[in-house]
Amino acid sequence: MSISERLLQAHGTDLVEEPSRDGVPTFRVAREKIEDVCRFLRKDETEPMDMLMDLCGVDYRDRQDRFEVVYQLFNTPNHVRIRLKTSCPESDPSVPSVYGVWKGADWFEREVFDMYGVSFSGHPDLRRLLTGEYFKGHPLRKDYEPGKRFPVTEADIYRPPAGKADEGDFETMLVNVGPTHPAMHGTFRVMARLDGEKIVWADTEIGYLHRCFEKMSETHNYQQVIPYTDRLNYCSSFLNNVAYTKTIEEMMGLEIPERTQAVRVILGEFSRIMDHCVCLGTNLVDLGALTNYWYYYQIREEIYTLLEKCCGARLTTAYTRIGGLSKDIPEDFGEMVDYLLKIIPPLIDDVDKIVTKNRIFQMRTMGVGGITPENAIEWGWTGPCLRAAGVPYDVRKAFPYYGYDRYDWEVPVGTTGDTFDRYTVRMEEIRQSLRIIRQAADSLPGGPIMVDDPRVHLPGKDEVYNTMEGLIYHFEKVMFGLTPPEGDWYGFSEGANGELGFYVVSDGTPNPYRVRCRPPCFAIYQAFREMLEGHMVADIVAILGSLNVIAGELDR
Amino acid sequence: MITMPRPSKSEKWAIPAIIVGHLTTLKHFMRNILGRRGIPNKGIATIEYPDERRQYSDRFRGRHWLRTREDGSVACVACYMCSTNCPAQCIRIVASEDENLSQEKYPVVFEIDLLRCVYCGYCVDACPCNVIYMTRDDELATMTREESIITLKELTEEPKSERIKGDIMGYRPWYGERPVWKDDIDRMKY
Repeated sequence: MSISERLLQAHGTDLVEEPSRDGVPTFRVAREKIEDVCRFLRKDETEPMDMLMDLCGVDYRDRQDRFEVVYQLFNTPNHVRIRLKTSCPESDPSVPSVYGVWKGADWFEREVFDMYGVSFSGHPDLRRLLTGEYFKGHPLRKDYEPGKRFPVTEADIYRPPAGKADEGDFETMLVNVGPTHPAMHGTFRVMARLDGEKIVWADTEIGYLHRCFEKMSETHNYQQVIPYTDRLNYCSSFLNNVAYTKTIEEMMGLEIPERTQAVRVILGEFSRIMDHCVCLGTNLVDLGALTNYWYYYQIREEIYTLLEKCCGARLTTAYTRIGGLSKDIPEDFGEMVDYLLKIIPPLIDDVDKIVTKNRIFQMRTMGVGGITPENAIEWGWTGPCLRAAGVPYDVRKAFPYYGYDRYDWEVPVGTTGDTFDRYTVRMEEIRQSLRIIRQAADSLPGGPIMVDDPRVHLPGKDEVYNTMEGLIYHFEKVMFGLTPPEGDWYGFSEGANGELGFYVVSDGTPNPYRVRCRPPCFAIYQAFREMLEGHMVADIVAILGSLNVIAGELDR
Repeated sequence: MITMPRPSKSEKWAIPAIIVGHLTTLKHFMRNILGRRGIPNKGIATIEYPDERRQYSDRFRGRHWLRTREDGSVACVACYMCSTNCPAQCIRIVASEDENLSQEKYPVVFEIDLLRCVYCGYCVDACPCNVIYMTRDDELATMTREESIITLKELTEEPKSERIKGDIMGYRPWYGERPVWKDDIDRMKY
């Protein structure tokens, strides 16, 4: 008996099964019962839903119960997914919190509260997350004007709560790190209360790089969202492009050509290498090892050259289109890949020689920022950080896409989940990515790069220039875009730092009704403040660097 | 699944690792002192900007350019496709009809706000008349915000730059064989 059947048996009166297009069992739960249902799924004996993968809100303006909260649950050992939906009316926007079931619900619920004004009763610390305490209105509600500006003055700056009061004989002090601190990797702010050098309490504030990605997606058509996804995780833009386009392609039932799949694998793995290089390089710089940074960044610069040859930009790639790629790969693509595969391994080995066996590095990272697998799953961690804790969950292995199951590669896992393990896991992932690229490049098939489906692709230029039909069709495609069938879809793929999911709701118009991005580092970073407690103040940068939190993706 | 090993006892010795690390650094140092540029893994990786500049590929998405006809008038027919497809809404076009009726419609105003532009190339993909191109010109700093809005005059000027070697044109609607365009084949430069 599957978990959905058990759920229907135990809670049949509280929920109804809904048809779902993406094959994930979906249940609509009465909002009073949501916590009970979640607890039941969490405590299930054979297939406990141990991870809250995503929690997001959707505003259905025409419905009586206007705000819908969507829960994406996940079972880590068996890779089973379940979706729950509950809704609340505008007059009483309140849903019971599931913070008591999964700690990982913490920031996800705060974000829904911030964006939709849905309050989660029972949440211990329900404050605004991305916009700030001073903000008026709820930006993702459909009646909030997308172009509306909100001026902020210096008086609105966030004052942290004092933390624990002084206890014992010694006076504690509050230290503020960031948001503009070179070791804070973008715009993160950490407030820590110190007892001597030891952190006794910490709080994090995010949202300094919030650019309303989700709101802006609602005002653009499906193709126009692609350049916006570049700016999520800007260390591996191409992987974001792929994650988004893959979701829409699945929604429309498009089977993309094999050549495009292979190119997406090759460039995606190169992007993953790049992202790991940036993460490890800057982490080592924060720890005082500057030399490695140059070796890592040489890799990154050379990969950028390949990306620029393919799509015309080094950082903001925007290379994919729904149904394929914007242009075919250049003629010297194979040579460039060979060149990169030749120069990357020696540089990785050089870093390995300098750092891995170095006693100072080992002492600095071993036992710092460790996390148990249970705790990591509870917080909703995915990606290299989860694998470092010993859980071998990788989307590429668990739900193979683009032929990842055809390639011969391994998933590296760590044992203790500390900073050292995160370093070794990422180093090994770089090597495994190189293996995948080698195999994909050797078997790169020919053929078209765009799917031959009149719903998505623009006509060829000779048709547009010479025939009236082609021209009309071109105009229609540019003006009205493409329309996936009505309904919702959760698409996911392995981003550089975990499962990058897109929950897209289509209402049959050219613009998406809702694009929810499930950023992997969001779930990771919410555990940061708890991880800090008990560590030294200098470990803030050591742990933060190893988590690979990217502000563009965290704040969207 | 590979379980990553923790350092063994012998790998925790301080002195050998420091010697190996220093030798590795020394190898890179000597290569940078003695090496030449452009040899993979044996030469110098950096370039001496601004004396030496990275030459981007013919797909580079830089400043825009509008193709002109033989008589110097802009080939654009003001169909608004580029501004419709622009995710950043940085293109402003005002169309007008030609008095001589040599062409039906042409742009009186064609402005691109380079500070708003995200250089995605969607305008190039959308153009049905093979007019808008992107050049390899990437140095676009201006002193004021007003200067960043480029007008029809700047857009139609022959793009040139001493910094860029070879063809300055970057991202274009098609690569490889030129699609035959029966109306305009003789007048097409690019």
